[in-house]
Amino acid sequence: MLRQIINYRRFILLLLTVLFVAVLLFPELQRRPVSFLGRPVVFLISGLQNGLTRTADGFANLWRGYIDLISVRRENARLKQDLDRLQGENLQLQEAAQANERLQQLLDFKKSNAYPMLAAAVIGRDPSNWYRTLMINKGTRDGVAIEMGVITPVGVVGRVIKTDPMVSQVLLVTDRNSAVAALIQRTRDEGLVEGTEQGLARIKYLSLLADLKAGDVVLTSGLTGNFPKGLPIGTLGRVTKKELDLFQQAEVVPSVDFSKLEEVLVITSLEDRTPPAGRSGSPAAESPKNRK
Amino acid sequence: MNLWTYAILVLLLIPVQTTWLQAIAMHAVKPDLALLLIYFTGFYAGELKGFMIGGLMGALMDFFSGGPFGLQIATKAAAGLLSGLLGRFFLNATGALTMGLVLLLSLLTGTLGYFFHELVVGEIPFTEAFRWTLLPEALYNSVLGGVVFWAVIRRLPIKKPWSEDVSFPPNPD
Repeated sequence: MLRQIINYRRFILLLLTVLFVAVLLFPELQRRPVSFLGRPVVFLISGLQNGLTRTADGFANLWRGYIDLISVRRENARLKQDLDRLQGENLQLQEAAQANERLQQLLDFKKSNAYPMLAAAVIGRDPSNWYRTLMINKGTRDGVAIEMGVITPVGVVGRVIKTDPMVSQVLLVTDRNSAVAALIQRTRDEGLVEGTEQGLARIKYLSLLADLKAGDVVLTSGLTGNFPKGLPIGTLGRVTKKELDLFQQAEVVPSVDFSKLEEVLVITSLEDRTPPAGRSGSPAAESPKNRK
Repeated sequence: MNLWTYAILVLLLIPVQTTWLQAIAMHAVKPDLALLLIYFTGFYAGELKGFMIGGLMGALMDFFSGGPFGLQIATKAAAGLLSGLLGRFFLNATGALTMGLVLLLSLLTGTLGYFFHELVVGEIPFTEAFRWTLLPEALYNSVLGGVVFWAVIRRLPIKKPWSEDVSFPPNPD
């Protein structure tokens, strides 16, 4: 039995050798049946290879990712700090640019105007809801006095009602205790602008014959001592005209947005400081008092 | 609260009231932080402290306000006194009760302020003042009062001075 098996094994070895040689000698045999048989093996091995390679790559990537993550985290933190700093700087620059623009407007207005003015910053508002006032950072030490008019390049703000050495209080034209002599630019009708409960203003004591229209510009008339003639106060809103009334009145939409006021100008004197034509010398000393 | 806490609150409230509160003003009406401080002081610490803090806050507000001096002192001191009396009626406050009492207090002191103002300065129709100033301010104060109570006051270990001897159920001894 054993002998038979040995002989049989020899025969198998011989057959395999012959096949091997035949495969080596005949390339056609390599291409088809052998490669056909080899495919599953190659597929299996290559699959394992792939798996192993991917696993190795995965570990390598994980390790690299971990290493990178540490540096990225550090870099991210640094970049965030830079971003915060730059955002802060950007905001400061924007704020400075806006302040510069506003101050430039004030300066231009101050230069173009004939009256001496003092620039002041708004530092607070009335603590109660009963009065509409502003606190400015200029007081008697800077030459501010009670009843001085306060304006912006856009229009009339109000008048000074209280002074301290370093601060002053300004009653807004929208306060119900405020009254400013005014005229309608188009029709030249005169009236009195007063504040209302709603924080707006209205013009009263206008002639019943006055032809008023919404949108008409309201200016200071210069009849009261606080403001020179011709400063804008606002525009007309709804006009109220009743038959039995002696006068008509209208809402006034102020040209100044009082909720966003940051800087104002205090008119310290109503004396015209422009030098008279053909004369030289001190304008303040020579100019006539300009209270129209 | 001790003296320093009161001092800091009183000194901080006016700058906040005159600057930052403008940002949350609705139709030019802003809440009255001073009234809230006075209400909570009076309600929890008694009418005397409420009266004193009210008078002090009123004086500071009068310095910074465009109205005649004394108007805020009178109304705020009255608010402190009234808050103290309310505090004796209601031992345990809730958010809703606080809102209601602040609304009532704000309307009462606002009306008082209106009449003082009429005596000194003059003629505003009450309906106009009520519609545009008194009611919006009272509503605003009420809402803010509720928020302050919910966020701060109810978390503080506050004990009313006159409630020390009160025990419930009654002690059999």
